[in-house]
Amino acid sequence: MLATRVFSLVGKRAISTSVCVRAHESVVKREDFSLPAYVDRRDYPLPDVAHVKHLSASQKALKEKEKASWSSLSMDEKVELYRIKFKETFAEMNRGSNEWKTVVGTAMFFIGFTALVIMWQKLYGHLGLCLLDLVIHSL
Amino acid sequence: MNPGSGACRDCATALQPGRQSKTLTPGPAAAIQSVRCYSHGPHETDEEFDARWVTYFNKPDIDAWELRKGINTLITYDLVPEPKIIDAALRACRRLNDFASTVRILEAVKDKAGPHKEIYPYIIQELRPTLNELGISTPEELGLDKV
Repeated sequence: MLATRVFSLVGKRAISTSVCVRAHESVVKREDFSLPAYVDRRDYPLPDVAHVKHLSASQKALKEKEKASWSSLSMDEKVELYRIKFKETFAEMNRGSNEWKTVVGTAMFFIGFTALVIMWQKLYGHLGLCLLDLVIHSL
Repeated sequence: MNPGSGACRDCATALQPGRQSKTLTPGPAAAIQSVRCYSHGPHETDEEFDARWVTYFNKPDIDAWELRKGINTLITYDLVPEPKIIDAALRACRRLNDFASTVRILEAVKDKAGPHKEIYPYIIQELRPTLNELGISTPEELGLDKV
């Protein structure tokens, strides 16, 4: 804390935290890191906070309507209420990805590179590190 | 599977016999009086477990934290909750004017059933009167089960 104040005298620039603010100004404020966070997890279905923190006027009106009978809500309103409280559905959070193709491809690439190294070693390995001889002789 | 006798839970745990040392269900036709066995602590029957959780969610002035804590804890257990527990939880959501959580709870229950695809339709069938009474739509009806 003291350090940030000293530096702010120097260049009106607090360390690290203000960089975060500038980078994600509208998304995450620095204080939020110490508050309960929203998570989409299969084993934690009801997170500590809602996904949307600041409601628009129409969303606030919808929240009022939520207090009455839910039969009077339209399908779109029900989906809207869900999206206010939650970011991704279970289907969305559990969806697969194509990452495995990248992983398998990279692994095969390095296996192939290893094969090239082995081939080189079989051909020229008996020579040892002969290029170093030139370095050693020049010293 | 004999749904009326706590077998929802037995189905889910039958695959992991080592986990909670439940008695394995011998077959779909048998009605099982299963006992929860712990290595420590007292024994609790399925009915006592269900009753405890129904009482928890039936608390008239339950607050949002208690609802979240209850559901999140229930989901950590190696079982699919009985319809009557979910019913009590949905009614708790109604008292808290929290529609979104009802859909989320149903999603979580379906997820808990895992590969046992017959459990979730059974639970929805059992809950249908409550869903109609409270005006709750299932995730499928809202199209939230698709990516």
